[in-house]
Amino acid sequence: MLPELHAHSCFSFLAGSSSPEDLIAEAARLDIPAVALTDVDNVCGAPRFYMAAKKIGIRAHVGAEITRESGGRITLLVENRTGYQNLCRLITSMKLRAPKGEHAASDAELREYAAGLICLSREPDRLDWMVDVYGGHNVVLELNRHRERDQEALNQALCEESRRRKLPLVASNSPLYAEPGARELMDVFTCIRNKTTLREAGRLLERNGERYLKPEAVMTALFADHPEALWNARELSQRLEFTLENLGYQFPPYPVPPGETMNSFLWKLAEEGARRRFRPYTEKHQKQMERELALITKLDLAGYFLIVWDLVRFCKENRILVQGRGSAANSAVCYALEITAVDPIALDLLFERFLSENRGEWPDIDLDLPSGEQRERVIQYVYQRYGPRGAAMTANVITYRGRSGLRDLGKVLGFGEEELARVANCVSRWGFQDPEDSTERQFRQAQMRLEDPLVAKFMELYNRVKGLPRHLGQHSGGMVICQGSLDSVVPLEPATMPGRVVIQWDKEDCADLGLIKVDLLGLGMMAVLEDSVAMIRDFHKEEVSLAHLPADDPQVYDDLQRADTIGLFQVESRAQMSSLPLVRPEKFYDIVVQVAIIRPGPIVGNLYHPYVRRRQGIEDAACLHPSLETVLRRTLGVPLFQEQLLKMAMITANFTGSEAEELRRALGFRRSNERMREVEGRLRKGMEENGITGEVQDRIVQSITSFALYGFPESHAASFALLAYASAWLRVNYRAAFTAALLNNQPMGFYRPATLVKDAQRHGTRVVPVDVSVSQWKCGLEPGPALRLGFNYVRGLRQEVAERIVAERDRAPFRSIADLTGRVPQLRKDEVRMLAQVGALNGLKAGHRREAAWKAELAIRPAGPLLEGLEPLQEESPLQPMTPRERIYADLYGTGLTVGRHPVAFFREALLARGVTAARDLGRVPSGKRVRVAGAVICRQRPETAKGFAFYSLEDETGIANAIVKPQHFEAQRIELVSEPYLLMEGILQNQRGAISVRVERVEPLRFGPAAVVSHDFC
Amino acid sequence: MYACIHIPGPTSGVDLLAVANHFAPQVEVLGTGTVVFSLAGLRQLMGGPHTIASEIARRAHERRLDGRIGVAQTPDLAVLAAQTRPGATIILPGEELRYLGTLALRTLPLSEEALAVLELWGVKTLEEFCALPESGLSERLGLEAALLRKLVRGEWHRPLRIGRMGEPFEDVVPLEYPLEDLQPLLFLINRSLQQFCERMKTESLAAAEVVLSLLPPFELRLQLPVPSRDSKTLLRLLQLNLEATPPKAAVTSMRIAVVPIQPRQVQHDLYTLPAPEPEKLELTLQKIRGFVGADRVGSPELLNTHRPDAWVLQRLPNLDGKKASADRPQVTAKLAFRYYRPPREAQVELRADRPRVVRSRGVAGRVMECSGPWIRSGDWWNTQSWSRREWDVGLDSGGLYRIYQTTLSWFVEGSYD
Repeated sequence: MLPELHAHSCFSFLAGSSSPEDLIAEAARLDIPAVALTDVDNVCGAPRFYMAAKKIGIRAHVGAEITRESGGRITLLVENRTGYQNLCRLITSMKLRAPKGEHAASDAELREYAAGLICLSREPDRLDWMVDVYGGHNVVLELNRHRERDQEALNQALCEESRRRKLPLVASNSPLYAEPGARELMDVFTCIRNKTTLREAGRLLERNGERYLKPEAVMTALFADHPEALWNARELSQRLEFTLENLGYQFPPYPVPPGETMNSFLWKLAEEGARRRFRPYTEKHQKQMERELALITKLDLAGYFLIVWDLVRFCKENRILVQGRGSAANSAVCYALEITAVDPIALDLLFERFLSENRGEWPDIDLDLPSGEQRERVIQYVYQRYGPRGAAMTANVITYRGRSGLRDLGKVLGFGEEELARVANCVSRWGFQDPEDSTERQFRQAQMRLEDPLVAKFMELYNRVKGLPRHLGQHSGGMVICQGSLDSVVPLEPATMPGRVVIQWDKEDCADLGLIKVDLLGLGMMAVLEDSVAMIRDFHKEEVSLAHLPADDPQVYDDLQRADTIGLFQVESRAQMSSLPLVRPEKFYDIVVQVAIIRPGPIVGNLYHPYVRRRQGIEDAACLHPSLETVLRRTLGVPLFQEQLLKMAMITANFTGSEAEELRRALGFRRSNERMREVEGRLRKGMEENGITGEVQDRIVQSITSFALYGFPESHAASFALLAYASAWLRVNYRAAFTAALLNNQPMGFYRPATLVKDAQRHGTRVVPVDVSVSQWKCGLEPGPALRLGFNYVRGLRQEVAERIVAERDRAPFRSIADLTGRVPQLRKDEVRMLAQVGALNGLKAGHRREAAWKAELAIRPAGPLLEGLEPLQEESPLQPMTPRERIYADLYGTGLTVGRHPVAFFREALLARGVTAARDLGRVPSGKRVRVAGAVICRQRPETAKGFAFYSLEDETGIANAIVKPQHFEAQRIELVSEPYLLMEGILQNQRGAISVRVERVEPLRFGPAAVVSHDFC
Repeated sequence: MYACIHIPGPTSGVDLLAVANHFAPQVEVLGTGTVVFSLAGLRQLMGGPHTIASEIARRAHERRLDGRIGVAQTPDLAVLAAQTRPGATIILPGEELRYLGTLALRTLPLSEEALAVLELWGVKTLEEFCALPESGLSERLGLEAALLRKLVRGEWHRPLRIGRMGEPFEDVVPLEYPLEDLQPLLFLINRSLQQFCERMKTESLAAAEVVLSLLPPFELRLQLPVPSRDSKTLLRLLQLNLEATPPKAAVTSMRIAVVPIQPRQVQHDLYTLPAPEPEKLELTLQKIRGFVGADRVGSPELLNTHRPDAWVLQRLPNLDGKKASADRPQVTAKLAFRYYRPPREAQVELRADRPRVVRSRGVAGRVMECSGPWIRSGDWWNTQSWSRREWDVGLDSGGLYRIYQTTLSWFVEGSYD
């Protein structure tokens, strides 16, 4: 059986066209016993390659082709763990010292990291150096035969050197793809890499399609004159003992005070924390703490908890808001250590969902941090604490998807921009994928003739390229930390963002290979809360503690029940707004449920409607069995949370906590039929022992097995509900501060700044425009209180210049526009003009924006040495003021929002004449009546779970109207619905207990000028 | 007053000049489709501006030039009127804004930055632009903007910029009787060419193109690889062309024009082998073209493809200094290869998928040794996709050949020397 020792996958990034899994599948088909993956300058594909190979029983060797400073590439195979560590360090070293994309290994680096590596050479002229660096025993000469005449001269030279130096020859086909058909994609990738087209690429393309995985019989025939090369390949494969099975990864220990062990220190900290946080600290609390700590000790996880605690401590010391999310909120220890904010004992959460003895996996603690600078500080703290090569962000593999793939491919095939734009527009951007929305249909919709062979080839290649990696990005927050140096476990490379280092594996790879990840996730709302609290402190001189907000503020629930939730965390979406008036939350736990229920899972799992009906009293809130009363009562008998599933199994079938968690995982997305049958058998047996039989048993089993897929962790929902409540409370009580903080932390949430401002104004908040005499860089508060827009909303104005304006103004107020431009010479012409356009210079002796622009133009022209420093003569402006509409559009262009009238307001009379109802008045229209609504499209949504229905939000000067478009209407008027900024929609009004929407039957574009808001389009 | 004729789209500069010259001896040429000239003195000859404009239109129409005409008191205003308004526009003094006031600002040659500022000021039309105070405009947008304002208001007057090309290099010779032989026609052509070449010498110009139009309709366009003012060469070239493709009927009228440009100044390299004189080379090539056809003369250039022996014929002589494609295939073969063009169809017997016997025109024998198959394929994305399997075969009859197989057949491609 002949191995292949020099294969490339698509992780060679445009130098290979098959996925690691495809290579392994093809190797299995061809009975190839071992394959070495040698991608260019990385081991990105190695984990996927290894996992796929492990399943099938193929040996996955590790290697890489390394770019050399002196030109060309050198192929290295890993023999043992030392070799693997050296390969990782070599790649790290060359990547970290060079600008991104310009790396190459120096001869000195290759020499330094040579041990444990075997060099596969096709360079007869460099053999002296290679033998010197790697040793004669570790240099082998690689023969390739791709049916190219020119190769034979090199092969002969290699044979010659082999004889002369007694170096072994090995046979390889050096495949760039798994099967012959992938050659076409390889050619396309070559063009993308060389920024050319297939027509122009010429001899850059493959000479033939022979670079695929070849079976032993073919290779034997090819190398019939060199049987020793085949034999040596088998021998060499045997020598390569290393696999990713044992990486040698260790999580770092936490340094503890003298006399303490990590376990004793954790116990001590947890105990102290528990007494502080659980008040009163009862026996129940104590027992739970002891149980958790005992398990943590048993599983030797104290170090992990201490490291996360250390991060939280850093945040608290630096006044950075932090909150653990996910299943960690089930843990009393996490709560005691202040990692999480939800009391798991009060909420009766289940620890086993977080940590169980039998799982054999590290627990997962995700920390939510304010997005932006604060989160960056925490990330930099991790780098500083564990060293630049001891910690790194996980990668995010960016794949060819939809439009990106289309454009890259189309250009290579020679299609014009216009055609590509047409096809790109027809590719779904929505979460919902119409089963009939095939690539073929999209191409036809774009008026591409599939009868044209080039178009057909385009479509075929597009289908092939989907899902293949395009480049390596950075995961939003996953950090991997390692004992010793991380660069001996996985290569590190610089991220695009300065000061960041990323590993070459994504989070799934890390999980597969047992690397521990701490997620430091940036949450816009955390930053909003933090900023709001600071603003309230500075402006109102009041101290708001998010940990001690007044519970169950009736005004908060009033807003929630009326779906008045724009800007709130988790409950502001279209779907939430439709649901809130029906569910009518009355207490904190209702928000927990609300956060969890508007998810694809409960909707697809058909849990939403039963819950709503029970909530409304339409349906009896019966539990499946009397014994489940305690578990399901709080969700009205509808199992919503994963913790409930676990408890159901524990109560009805006598499962232990660990067994129940195992059951959940067995029923999860990666379920196998065999495994499912097994756990179902155990479940039924347990129930029978408890006398639960027949139909009730079936219903419980059915309920557990189906909802295991969709359930949401209650602990996670509770953590999010805390943030949702805090955001609602701040919005009710300090709306101007909360809105200012929202505006300062964009982009985030569901709505654009323009909508947030209009919503604040509708609630009586005074919002005042940018003014060079008053504004700061960020939006802030003024007496009133009023919300003053900051310079951060002025299009194109640089932060450093804005800060300079503020500094100069603090020194002395500006007397005129000329004074401003004279004292802040960093201001560019375009910045001054933009300030004039948005009215920010009106306060500087300019009656209106155009007068300011007239004066500004004189002020920014170089005056020459003679007149420099002199105030220009005050000349009257000959310009007419902007009309109100012009002012609005200048605002929208210059700041993306307006504090003036809504653009739709200018057309209200015409809309009334056409029978259009304003959004505010829809509540007075009887349900079932035909209505017309019109406005700026602020949101388009076509979620995966909605069976092709599309949801629209139209904003007018009075509020927001929600509309639902049926699939057939969507298809019929797709162009208008997807691209028009203002729409008139006609249909039947539905009012379900205050949840108002229009079932659209007809759509008409409105020509109201530039878009008021750039619509937020969601999946 | 001044008149401007503007022809949107491609047009004959020679014809346009001819029309303009009918009204004025001195004409300013603005690009290929626009001319402007003075109407001084024409009022007494032809009448008022409306009459003159009609006459210009009529003359232009005769030459199949359907363009726009602007008449105004300054050259720039006349140009602006012709370029922005359909038909004939006559702007009398004081009526500038009546005709041009509603035009969009973008019709003026303002910089993008100035246009953006004016847009910010709410200035959209020429009327609004002209309403701005001159000094204020000048202080803010510079002298150019102020001049444009004056231009629109008819306050900016400048003399015409008369170029050398004011007088066309064109002769129209109506014949008293039809010419059936080439010689008398060449005699007439020679006379015109000699005059043109003399003039071109004095004006430091050379002909880039010669256009010969005959009646009944016949046109010959001679594009010269290097500009020339040698009347003999030009005549010889025309003669060769006329001999190769003579007019189909007796000639009743002749029009000859040359397109003059600045001649090329070339200093030859001391160390470069002298090439033949371009004029002589062109004459030679023209003779060859006459024999074998124009599309069969040139220099072969290899195409950038893996397809073997793919090349195109490049026009000769290549005097623009561009080198042939530098991207040549790497050739590592030690043996020279002699292509058979076209490749010879062959019959090949195989044994165990390897050639055993080859039979073709001039090449036949039992295969004593062979190597291959060497596989090449390409152009898979279009209908010209190709694929071939090559073998190098040594025959018992002696000789080493390259044979290949396509989907259609076997061929002998050539032999190794």
